[in-house]
Amino acid sequence: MTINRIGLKLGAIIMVLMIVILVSSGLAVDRLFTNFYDTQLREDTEEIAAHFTTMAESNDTFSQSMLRAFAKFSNVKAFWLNADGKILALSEEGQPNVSFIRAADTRRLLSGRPVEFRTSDAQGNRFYVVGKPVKTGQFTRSAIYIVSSMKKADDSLQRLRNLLMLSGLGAFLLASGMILITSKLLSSPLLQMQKMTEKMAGGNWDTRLQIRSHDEIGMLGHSINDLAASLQRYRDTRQAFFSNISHELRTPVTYLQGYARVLADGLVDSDKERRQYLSIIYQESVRLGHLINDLFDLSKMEEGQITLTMEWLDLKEIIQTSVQKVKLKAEKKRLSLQMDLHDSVPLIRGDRKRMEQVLLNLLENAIRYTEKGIIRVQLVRHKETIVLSISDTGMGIPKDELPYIFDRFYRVEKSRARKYGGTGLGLSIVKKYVELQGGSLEVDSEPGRGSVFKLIFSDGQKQRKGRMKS
Amino acid sequence: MKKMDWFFSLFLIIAGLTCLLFSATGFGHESILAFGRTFFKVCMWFICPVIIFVCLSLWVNFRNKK
Repeated sequence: MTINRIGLKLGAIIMVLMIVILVSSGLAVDRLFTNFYDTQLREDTEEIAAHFTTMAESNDTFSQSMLRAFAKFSNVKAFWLNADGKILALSEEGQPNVSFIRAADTRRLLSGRPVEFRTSDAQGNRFYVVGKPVKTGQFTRSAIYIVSSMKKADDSLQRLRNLLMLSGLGAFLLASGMILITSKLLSSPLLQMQKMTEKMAGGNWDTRLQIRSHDEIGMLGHSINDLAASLQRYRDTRQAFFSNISHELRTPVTYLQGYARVLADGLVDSDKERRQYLSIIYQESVRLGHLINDLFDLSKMEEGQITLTMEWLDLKEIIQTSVQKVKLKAEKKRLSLQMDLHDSVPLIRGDRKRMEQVLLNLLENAIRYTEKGIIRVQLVRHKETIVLSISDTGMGIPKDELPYIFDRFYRVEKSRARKYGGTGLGLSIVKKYVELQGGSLEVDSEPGRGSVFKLIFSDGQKQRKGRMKS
Repeated sequence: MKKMDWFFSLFLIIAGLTCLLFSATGFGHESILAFGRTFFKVCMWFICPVIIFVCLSLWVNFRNKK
């Protein structure tokens, strides 16, 4: 049998409570029965004493034989004292023990007042004594002591106490068995969680809890499972990130080294070839610079060190500026750049520089992956949200790849990097910037028909008015 | 819970019930047969809710799985 600490604690607490309840209720029951027997005996003895007194008062012929007969019949001892306090008659033959008769009690009796008390003999047997005056008119003629043995009641009480102790032991054992089951059942999921978190601390994040309950412990189990999944995902993405970053950095560096070596060794045949190699070196160094800048931005965002200068922004103005900047690139590829900006769109809260960077990234992506057709920027107000969408007629993204396009270094086709350029971090940065400014990013795409990126922001002014009203 | 835990718990429960019943029937000097009859009755009262509870939980589990 295994005993765990939490189960032991739980069991011990319930057991202590159980013992407290058992002991206090046992004491209460014991007092109840003791009082009941005492009261019963006192009432019986007083009743018998009253009968004796009535007989003695009403019958002048009341004698020792009558006293003995009634005492035997009532199962008591009786002592009849005369007006001087001397014993007139006894309920039994021989020399009875009269040590309980005290002069003070006798005086009290003979003065007309009853007495009652408990006493015990040398063997420890207890007796209940009731003394009553026998009156004739106003005068006390004699007195009667009735001595009732408490042995029977004491024996019964002792037996009752023994049985109470036995039932207490029974209740204790019964409770122990049930507490054992309960504490085991209650502590078992906690122990499972403890073992699992221990495994997690050891680096094993693949392990999961089997959760059956839907209570707080079940929810805790779900949270631990979610935590393990998050840690596992974090580890996987970190590994992928380091693998990607080393690959992404190595590629341009290899190009730079190779072409620089060719030029340094004079292995070029013509001036045109030399210019071509220099152009490649320049493009690769620019790409490397972009990559380092993007990585720097991302790491700052993930560490929460990026500070945004939030202000009221006119998205129309930012769109127009961004479109102006990429217009030349679009014209070079003979792409039509269209804007559809609704006038009713209110200002939103955001960082001007970051918002422009987001738009430029999305527009450059659209131009990069679109060979012919149009790129359309639309700004509309939809219910309580402002939707900025950038759609293109490019090659599109397969549906199964859509959930991953915002991951760092994720590329739909690995060959795209060389052909189209880009660092593979653009969309990841865009998503983080949008979320930092309180917006969300959605994408819809169809291979061969193009993609639509939607930036959704809540109507900040309306929200502010709502807050002011409330 | 292991088999040993169940065994130990059931042992304690049965011992507790025996003590309780013995104390309940002990005052009146009842016979062993009367004690056995009472013990059986109490065990039935004890087991019936357990059986009902187990059946209900099995039924709920079966429904949830379905």
